[in-house]
Amino acid sequence: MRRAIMIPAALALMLSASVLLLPASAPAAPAEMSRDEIICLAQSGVGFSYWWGHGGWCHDGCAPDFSCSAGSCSGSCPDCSHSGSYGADCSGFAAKVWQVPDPIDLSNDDHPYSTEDFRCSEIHWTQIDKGDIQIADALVYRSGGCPGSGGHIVIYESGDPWGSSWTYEARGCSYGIVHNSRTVSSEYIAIRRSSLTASCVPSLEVCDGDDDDCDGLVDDDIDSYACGTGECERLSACAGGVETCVPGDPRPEICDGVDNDCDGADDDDGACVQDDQDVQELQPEEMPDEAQDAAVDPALDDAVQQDVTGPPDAQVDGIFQQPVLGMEGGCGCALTR
Amino acid sequence: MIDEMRKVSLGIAAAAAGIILLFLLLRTGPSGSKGAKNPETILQLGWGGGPGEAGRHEGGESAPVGPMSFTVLPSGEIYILDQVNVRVLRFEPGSKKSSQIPVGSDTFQDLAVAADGTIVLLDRLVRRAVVLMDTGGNELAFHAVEGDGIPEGGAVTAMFLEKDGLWLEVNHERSVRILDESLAPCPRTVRRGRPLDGGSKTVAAFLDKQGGVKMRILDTPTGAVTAEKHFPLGQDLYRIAWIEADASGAVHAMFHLLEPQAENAPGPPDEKVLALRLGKDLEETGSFESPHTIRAWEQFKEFEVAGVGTVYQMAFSDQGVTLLSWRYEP
Repeated sequence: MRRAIMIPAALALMLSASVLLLPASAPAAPAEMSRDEIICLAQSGVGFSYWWGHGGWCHDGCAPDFSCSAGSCSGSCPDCSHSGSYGADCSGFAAKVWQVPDPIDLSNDDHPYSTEDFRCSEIHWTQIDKGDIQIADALVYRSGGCPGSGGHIVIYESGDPWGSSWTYEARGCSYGIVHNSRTVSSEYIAIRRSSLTASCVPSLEVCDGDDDDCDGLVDDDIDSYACGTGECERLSACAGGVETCVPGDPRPEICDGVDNDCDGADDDDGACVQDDQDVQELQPEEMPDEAQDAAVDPALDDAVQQDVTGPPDAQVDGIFQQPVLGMEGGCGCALTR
Repeated sequence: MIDEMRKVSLGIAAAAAGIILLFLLLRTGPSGSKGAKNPETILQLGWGGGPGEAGRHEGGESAPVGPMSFTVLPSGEIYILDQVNVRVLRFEPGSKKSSQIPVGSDTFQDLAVAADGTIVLLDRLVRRAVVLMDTGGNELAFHAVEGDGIPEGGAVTAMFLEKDGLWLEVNHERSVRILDESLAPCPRTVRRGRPLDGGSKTVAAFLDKQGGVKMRILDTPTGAVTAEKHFPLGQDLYRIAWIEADASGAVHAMFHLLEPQAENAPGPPDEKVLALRLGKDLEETGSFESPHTIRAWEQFKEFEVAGVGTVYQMAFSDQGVTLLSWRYEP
């Protein structure tokens, strides 16, 4: 009888001990997410207000849904005031975008972690080498280390050619949630969410024969640059993973208001001397129709001139249209993109 | 015994000093390369909101920031963008007394001053505009940043006020002229890199993913590469901090170096800025090292190169803001 009592007692003791020994705070892994899904959620917050101690906004897919008021913040947080029902501070934004600890609708106000948690603990994330950072990881700073006092966290998107970082962040009271290229000091450490699924890792699309930005297209959206001057000006092109720019061939200068021989000057080399004489000798009835009208009505002259130059901000197929003839005022911009 | 130990210690110290001296003597750089004199501190500000102070925001669950930008005019006047205190601080040449210009917002991130005294302020994230102000803080005009060549304000990485107008750099790759020489809007013009020789050339740079930097000088009209050089800085390169040419055509490049550090290593990592002065073929003609690197308090602009080749650096410390002037030996 006594033995019978002793066995259950030992089992109970062992169970109790095992419960005590189990990592009571070990959380279940967060739901799986891809890096693309994280960036999608980050994009959807841009434009909403900064709201200290909160995290929630409305979205329509990857876009913000401003049918919910973006809210506004004024003052210097934490002694700041907020109006509206949506917005986030930096840690509220990061937790929502990472969907930790559990999946939650973005519009539900929730703020489960602070920068102290992100910087000083590894709950649903782990610290990684900053050199290994990838899109949808985060950079976190805590003033004074751990536990420290105050801090900041940003969602990393990509690095630029100089080593600056493209980030999504709930930046501060006056800024709200923004997407920007910024410097990040060495005091920030990199962390990675747990339970990430594989996906393409987008980076800046460059002319290299690869689909860098993961949009399914190779070498698309490449910025072109101009080379050559005058009529020889051409735009660079990307072909076979190589970007080249070849200026056009110069031709003899003629009197047409254009730099035909591509030496940087319009109608130079005496190109207009003979033409000027010809014009002086012409009578209105001998001129082309438009010029005849202009000779009769000076206002029409302006209209013809505008028709030639076009509006300053006109675009043709995405190429910036510049003034062709010397315009008065303005900057006489010569290059196009 | 103690005397013996002292002798050994002194011997080791002397040997170490000799090695350091030898290293310093050998570290003369390429032939013709000049060093910069120890920096002159031309301005020092404590943290705060009073006169002679600059504001810093610690970032309690938001971005920690310090004064975002500065400029030193050829006259010696200094302007500090003290946006945390919603003002620009202006210092007369050689004076420690400042006057202040209220700017009405703490979201400006860069400033420049035109020859007529107009203050040009960049707010790339909230108003997404360039704002022109007079010295009384009255807004004269504002011009949207986003448009042809600039898809979003957050892509702007620098602002340059030049003789031919106002240029905004995008993603450290290209620059877009948005205002003409009279600071009026103009058809937008795009160029690669940063200007050199009054705009007849441009200089571009990018990290090469092997820990180095590739730099190129391009002829602006033709786009032809006139010089190219690779700087193998090893695994220490953290980022390119600044590139700007002076009036003589010398290119000044500042590289933020960061020693790799073992996990959980005690103390902060060893950081510095390596500044190089480069000639027309990108050959090194001078260099210096600054121990001041960016801190957690964000700043949009750390360096400025004067026409005469002086390099200015705005550095933050726990004590405040220091503006340093580095001059190369003639």
